[in-house]
Amino acid sequence: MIAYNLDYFKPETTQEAYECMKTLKEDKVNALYYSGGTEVITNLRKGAFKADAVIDLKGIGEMSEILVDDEYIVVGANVPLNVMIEHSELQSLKSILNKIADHTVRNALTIGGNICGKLPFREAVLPLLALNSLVKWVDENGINESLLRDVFDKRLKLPPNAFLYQIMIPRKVGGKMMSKRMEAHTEVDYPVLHVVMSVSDTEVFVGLSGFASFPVYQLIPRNEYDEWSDPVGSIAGLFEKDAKSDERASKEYRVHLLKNQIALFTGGAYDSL
Amino acid sequence: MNTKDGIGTSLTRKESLDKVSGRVIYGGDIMTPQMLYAAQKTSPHAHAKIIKIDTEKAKGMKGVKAIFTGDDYKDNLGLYLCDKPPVARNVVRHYGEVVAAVVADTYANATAAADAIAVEYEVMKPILSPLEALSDDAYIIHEEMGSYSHIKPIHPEPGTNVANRTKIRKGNPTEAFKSAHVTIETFVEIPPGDHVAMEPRVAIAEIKKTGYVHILSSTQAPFVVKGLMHQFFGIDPGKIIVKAPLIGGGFGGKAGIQLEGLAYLLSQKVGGRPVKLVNTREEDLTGSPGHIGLQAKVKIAADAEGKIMGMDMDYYFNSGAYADYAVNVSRAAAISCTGPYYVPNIRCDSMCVYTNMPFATAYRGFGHIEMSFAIERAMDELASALDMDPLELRIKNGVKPHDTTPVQSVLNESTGDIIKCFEEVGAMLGGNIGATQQLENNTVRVKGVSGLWKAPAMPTNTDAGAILTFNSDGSCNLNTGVVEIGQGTKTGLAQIVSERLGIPVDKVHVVMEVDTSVSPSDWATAASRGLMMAGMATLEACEDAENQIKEIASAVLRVPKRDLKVDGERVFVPDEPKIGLNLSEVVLGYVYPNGNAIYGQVIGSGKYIAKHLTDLDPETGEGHPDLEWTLGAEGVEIEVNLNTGKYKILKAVCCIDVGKVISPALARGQIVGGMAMGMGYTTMEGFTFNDRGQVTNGVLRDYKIMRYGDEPEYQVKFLETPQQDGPYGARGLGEQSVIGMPGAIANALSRAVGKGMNQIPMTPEKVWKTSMEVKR
Repeated sequence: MIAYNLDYFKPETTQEAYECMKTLKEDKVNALYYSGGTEVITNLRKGAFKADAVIDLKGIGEMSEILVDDEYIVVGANVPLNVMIEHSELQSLKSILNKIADHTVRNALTIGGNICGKLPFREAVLPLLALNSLVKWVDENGINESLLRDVFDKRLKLPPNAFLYQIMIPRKVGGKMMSKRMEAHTEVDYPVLHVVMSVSDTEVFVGLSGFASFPVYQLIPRNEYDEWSDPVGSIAGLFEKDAKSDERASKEYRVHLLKNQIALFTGGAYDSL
Repeated sequence: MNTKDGIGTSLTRKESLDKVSGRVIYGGDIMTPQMLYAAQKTSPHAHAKIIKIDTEKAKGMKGVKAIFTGDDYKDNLGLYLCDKPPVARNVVRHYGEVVAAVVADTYANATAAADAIAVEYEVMKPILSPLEALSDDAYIIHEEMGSYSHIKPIHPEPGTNVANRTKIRKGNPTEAFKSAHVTIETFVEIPPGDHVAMEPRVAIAEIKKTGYVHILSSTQAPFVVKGLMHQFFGIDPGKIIVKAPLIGGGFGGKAGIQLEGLAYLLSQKVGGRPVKLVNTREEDLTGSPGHIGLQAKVKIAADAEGKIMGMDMDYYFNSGAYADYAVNVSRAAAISCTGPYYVPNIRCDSMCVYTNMPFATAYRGFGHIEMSFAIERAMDELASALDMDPLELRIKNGVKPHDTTPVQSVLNESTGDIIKCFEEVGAMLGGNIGATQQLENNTVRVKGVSGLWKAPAMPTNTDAGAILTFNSDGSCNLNTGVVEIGQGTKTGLAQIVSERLGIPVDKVHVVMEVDTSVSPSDWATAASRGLMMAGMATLEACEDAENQIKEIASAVLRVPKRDLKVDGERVFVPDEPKIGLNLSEVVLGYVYPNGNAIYGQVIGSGKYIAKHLTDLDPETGEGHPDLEWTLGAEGVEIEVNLNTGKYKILKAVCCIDVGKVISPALARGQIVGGMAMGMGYTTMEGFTFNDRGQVTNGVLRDYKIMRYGDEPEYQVKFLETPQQDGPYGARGLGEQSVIGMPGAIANALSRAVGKGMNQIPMTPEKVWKTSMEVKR
């Protein structure tokens, strides 16, 4: 149990939420936004971090909705992964999202929480980056919009007290997206490597989660990619220095798994010796 | 005889509907008025002196009633060797060791106060393996070992880190090795780990003003708790009442004494009010004991035909910081040290060694799963050296009736047919065990087999009892001391009564809770002999009840007792069935038409005590500690991707000789459950440590166990060579199927990569690394 008291706020509008956080911070209160709560509740119990106040964003109704217009599928940051997985327009993301955590947890785990939480995996961000999605967030100026690629570097970089509002996923997809998730052993576990690779006419996207201490990605212009004689070596070379060793796998194994998988994606050669 | 739902039929367990509907009250659910709640503070260090514990802030916090530290109790507790204070005193010896406990009016207040206790440590270097603990200049973890009291069969070595050494000396091993055609040597390693039962441990203790001590605990051994509370705290045995409700899984982890002593001391500190002490999952994983680890060296000598001439082994069991059951685990492994093979010459030293790691208690397999891993890997190495099929080698050396065991006891006619078990396993796997099948994409399919055996390592006076009472409708109530830990023994015992007395099984009501003040004594629900021993006591109680029923009927019907039969809920004359009475008319005494009442209620009682057991000779190990042996064989088929090291166990098979299958579904459930546990143990479990001895996977998100989707296709076959002194010929089967899994899996993976895989857990990364070593 969380053995101490904290203040709980549940604003109903984006403005209310932002003002609430701003005021708490000005009063030097240690406050957090949260959405699904799967990370906040478990970590507050374990004592991995502390909070004096939590702001529950689930009171902001539109953040739990999925809207489809001509160009985008607009997903509110509070939408649980299982709802996304079951949505007819988001089937291309299904095979990536349904490997995160387990089914029961995904009933509560939200897309916003997965991207903005403290855990270093943030696997849901990979296909969103590959598809060149847009994000909307709330800050002092109200609702802002930008390309995800412009505000994501290891984690989502937003102004102080801002929070993620919606994600806009392009409906027209240019390239072919491939993904593979590998764990230390059993499937219900954090990834030691989750690789998403997307090849379109203009660019090649390779994004990795679980490989480094944060998600990493590279964009390669298509014509440059086509010139490579050793795609496996070249791609691995872009990421090798980021590989980490931890309880689940060594850096050598991660690099090996990456090369092995890129070889399978590209048909390129990889001799593990 | 009741053929409808007696032995041999599969029934829904009696408690299942309540379990799946959330209607069962487990220890942790209980809340009573006057109850106080305890929280624990644990050590982040593996080895440290406690310099100071500052409880000032905690004492003043809301709702706090008492704080308990090591200084509050000067003695040690212990099952076989008294080496453990209830909370750490002056020194912490493992990561997660409890250093203080707080009692408060709510669990939240107790936890908040525990957080506020400040402990100052002087960190010391931890010892993190048995071999390190045995090195010449190793730190002595228990300096006062010489003053620890212990039971006779345990031989601690003060001045060292050896809590117990069991020696097996049979025949002339030196000579055997000299004249052998081939010898091999293998070294294996297993880290300590945890049972991960679904229910974390709980103990509730209350001391009434009348002096009666009430303990409610998630224990597999309520009578052991009663006995030890008397021994440690001097309470009259008749004034200790221990209750065991339904338990959410034990696997041996709840078979000793753990939280009960501390709960009692906490209650004492608050004037005897009931105190509930429940482990968080993290405390249950590393604070309370887990399973033992092992480093082992095995040498086997064989002749040119593959007949084993001798074995020489050293088992260095990793007991962790305290000994608990571990001293008997290492002893049990010595008794069975060769695995189920006939070996005429043996030198074995089995040691229980202290380290600064979470400590070990009983676990499914009790030393046999660890010993079996070492022996079965060595057997495959021997097969390789002899260029012999691994199954053929085992068939050639499997034990038979009249062979002697490592302790030189003689296997009697009640010995299972392990040769047939091996043959069946071979058939279930499709033969050709030694072959590697190449598939595309650098993937191979391989098989591995192992033999298994186990005898329970129990005290020589292990016992069980049973009481039968009756109800007005002729149904009966069975009261035994067996705890329902999820193994379904209560239902199996009901089937035995149903079979014996001819009463439908839903009219045999089994008392679910054990209460030491009303249940007959029972050593412990452990060692896979609950059904066997309580079953024998139950049969005796049935016979006693039947005799009394016939006595009353004889008077009423004016027929000699010998002409009566009890069946179909009646007592009657078999060749003139109209002459008879319904059980309902008899079991609470008989009332004549004129009102006269005779005899009174039928109460059947039965008991069982193990016969002719002796302890081991301290120099040679000779003795007869083994009640009965269960033998079997296991095998797996695995598909391995040598590119990534990832593998899938496609098939897991087991053939085990159980004497008699009382309940097929229950029996298969136990076997499959044991195989699953053995698979998790081998492939993904075990604590991981950093170099400061801290456990780095002490939460279930990181400590991985088997999940749905990981399981293979299971095939189970039972043989029924009767156990002549078991109920209907049955012998123990609850835990044995865990034993052969590490060997079978490791043998298959070793075949896949072309090199010995001798370290548990066998992760895909290890498979990949080993196959890379071979390629280079």
